[in-house]
Amino acid sequence: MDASKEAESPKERIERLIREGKITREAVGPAEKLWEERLQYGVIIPNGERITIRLDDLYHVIVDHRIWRKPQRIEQMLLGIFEIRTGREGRRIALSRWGEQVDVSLYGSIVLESDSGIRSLHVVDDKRIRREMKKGVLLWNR
Amino acid sequence: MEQIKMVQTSVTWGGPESNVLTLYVEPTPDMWEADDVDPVDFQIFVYRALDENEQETEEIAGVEIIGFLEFDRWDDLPKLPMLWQLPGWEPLPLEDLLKREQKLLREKEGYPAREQASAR
Repeated sequence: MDASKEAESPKERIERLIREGKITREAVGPAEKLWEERLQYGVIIPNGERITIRLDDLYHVIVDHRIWRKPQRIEQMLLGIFEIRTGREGRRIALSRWGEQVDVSLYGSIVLESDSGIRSLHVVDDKRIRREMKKGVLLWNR
Repeated sequence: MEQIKMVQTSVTWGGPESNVLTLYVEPTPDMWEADDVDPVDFQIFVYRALDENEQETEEIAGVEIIGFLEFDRWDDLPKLPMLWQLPGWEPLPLEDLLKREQKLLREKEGYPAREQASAR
């Protein structure tokens, strides 16, 4: 069997979820607009590195309800990186903290490739962030 | 003894550039949180379903593997009491399904024969 016939691309999944009423097109539009206006040019994270985000990466990360409901979190998460640690095969994990309300911090983890692309980006809880801080070797923090 | 649950499944493949494969339980719970279950790296995530208060539940929503074409750390996969069934296929344990998908995707993406040989 042809694998391409059974595996969806991230964009195809988003389109299916829209057809099934799980995500509204109105919710995806702001994420696409944000990518067109800003994210496609990259985001400079606190260590000075420019992180690139392909359109396919956008469709992959917005399947997380905490992202598609608030796509601005992609940029907030990247700007809130406070620590980068080593992974295997040149990959790195970036740990992020940012605020949307007074006295409430949100946390995220981002898998970065050696070429500064993103492979995965998720909103997580503080317990998971503390666990991530024990893995790999610290490359950078602020 | 833990009961084995059978779930309908879909696969999302981001192509060789992103090299990320995600298995979703279908229908996928509306809310989930990615749990990095990889003991040594950041390559294996389990999506854990959340309740209406965004608290984690026992339900699994999916599995994400970073660097999937080269992935060979099968012993590090989480031991989930589930069989995953893609449309038109028999239900399989997670490891067996991922190995089958990897074989198909390596063929489709022209994954270097040299690396395939060393991965066997």
